[in-house]
Amino acid sequence: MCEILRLAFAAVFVLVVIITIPTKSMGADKEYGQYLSAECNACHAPSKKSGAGIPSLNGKPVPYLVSALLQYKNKSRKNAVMQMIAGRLDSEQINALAAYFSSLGK
Amino acid sequence: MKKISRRQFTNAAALGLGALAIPNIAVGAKPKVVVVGGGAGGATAARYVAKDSKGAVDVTLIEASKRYYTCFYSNLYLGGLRNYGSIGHNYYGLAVNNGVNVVHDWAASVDAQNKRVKLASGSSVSYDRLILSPGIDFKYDSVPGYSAEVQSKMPHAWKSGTQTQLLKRQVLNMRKGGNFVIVPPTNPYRCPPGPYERVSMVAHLLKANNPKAKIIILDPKPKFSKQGLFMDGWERHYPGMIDWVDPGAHGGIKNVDGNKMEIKTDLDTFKADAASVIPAQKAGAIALAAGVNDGDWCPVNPNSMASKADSNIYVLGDASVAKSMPKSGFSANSQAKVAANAVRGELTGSKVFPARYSNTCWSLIATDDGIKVGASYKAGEKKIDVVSKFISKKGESAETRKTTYEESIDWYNGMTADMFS
Repeated sequence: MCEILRLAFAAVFVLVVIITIPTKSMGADKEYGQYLSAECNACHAPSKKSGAGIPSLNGKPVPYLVSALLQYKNKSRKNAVMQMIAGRLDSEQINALAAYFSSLGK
Repeated sequence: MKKISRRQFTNAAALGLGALAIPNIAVGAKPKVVVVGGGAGGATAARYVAKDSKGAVDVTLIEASKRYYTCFYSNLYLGGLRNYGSIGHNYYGLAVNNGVNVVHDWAASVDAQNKRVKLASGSSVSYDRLILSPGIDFKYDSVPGYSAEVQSKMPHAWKSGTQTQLLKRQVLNMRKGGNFVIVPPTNPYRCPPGPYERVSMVAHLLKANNPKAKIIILDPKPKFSKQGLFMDGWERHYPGMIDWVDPGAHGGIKNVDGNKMEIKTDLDTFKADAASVIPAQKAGAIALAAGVNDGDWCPVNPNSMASKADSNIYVLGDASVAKSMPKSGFSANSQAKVAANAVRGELTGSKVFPARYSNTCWSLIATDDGIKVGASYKAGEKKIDVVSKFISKKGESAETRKTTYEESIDWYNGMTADMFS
């Protein structure tokens, strides 16, 4: 009985490690990304019908999203709203947001 | 290390709060959230609680109107840049896509002890958490002579809908070379730049239809939001048309007369061919009926938007005291997401993340001449504190102003999708 319990615990431990390590190594917590994305949704519609002002972010690749946010953060890309929003995002938050939006269907 | 401590904190908080939800789960009943008011705060809160809890929470939205006309962009309708239908939205998406139980009724009172909202139709709805986002009501007697009756002659049009249509008709029917008089509200009020965008859009309409008409602003305030930007724009687009009269000059509004269409001040009696009188404001009636107010507005905890008077009740948007945030649709939408996250955490044990807020107010001065002001915020000890802010600058290129206006069009689409889709 004890042996079975020990094996069960070991199995669960291994599973937990497998599941959590990749997520943490990317620094991208999906739940956190989803919460942070709510701020973006005030302006970025899920699909874009017209206009050239604010693009949809859904399905955009991670490197594109990360680099755009970093450019706004260091003010090399211009837009007062985006510089303000990105200005207070740390790298964990930028990674979480990029992972979240890239996971959404276009 | 900071990162780990935040996670530990939020996980611990979630576990602790999750325990509170166990009685609901144990008896098999889903926790219930009732939202009152289907505007930028309420519709967003209902949508986010329903969407993110994936059916684990019953969400009921109580909203009297079947069609919601946004206050934001209603000035563009006045100016002839949007049609009325384009600022109207229904609740179909909330019900069908998100599973929100949309009840078209008035919330008449709140029995906080038994956690029930009584409806004007006679029935009632029970809640585990109540989110109040009722917007504003008017203090009619703040302007001597003004009343609910006079609002048909001198529309406030500060809740979008038939009042806005009425005001537009009255502006279009002005005699040639006549006067449009506007009395902006005293602080604090919904949409700080709104009265001055209204002046800009009425000027835009008059410039095309009645170019010799005048606009007189009888302001109870000595200064106003984006003042330098608006006044610069008025000089460029509408030279000689707009007079802003501050309280030092007019000495105070002594009386308004809807029949004679006169506004009396210490300085003079102003004759109006059309007028918009916007009285002082207070939290929507249901917030006062629930007893979560302190005077005209409802104090909240800056980290969650929970009422300081009752932890089962949240207050969003215009009705709340959310200093340093302005009373705006964008603010209400932002606050709704913080509240939705906190409410889900309390009822289902989901992770609760630190509050973060933001706001941007776009205003249009003339075709393709858009300006904006905005800030990001965090929960402070006693109030919501500014993290960073920005404002458009005088002398920006025409291209920048056009881009700002185009950005606002996409914002409108994004915001209304975030509320109603």
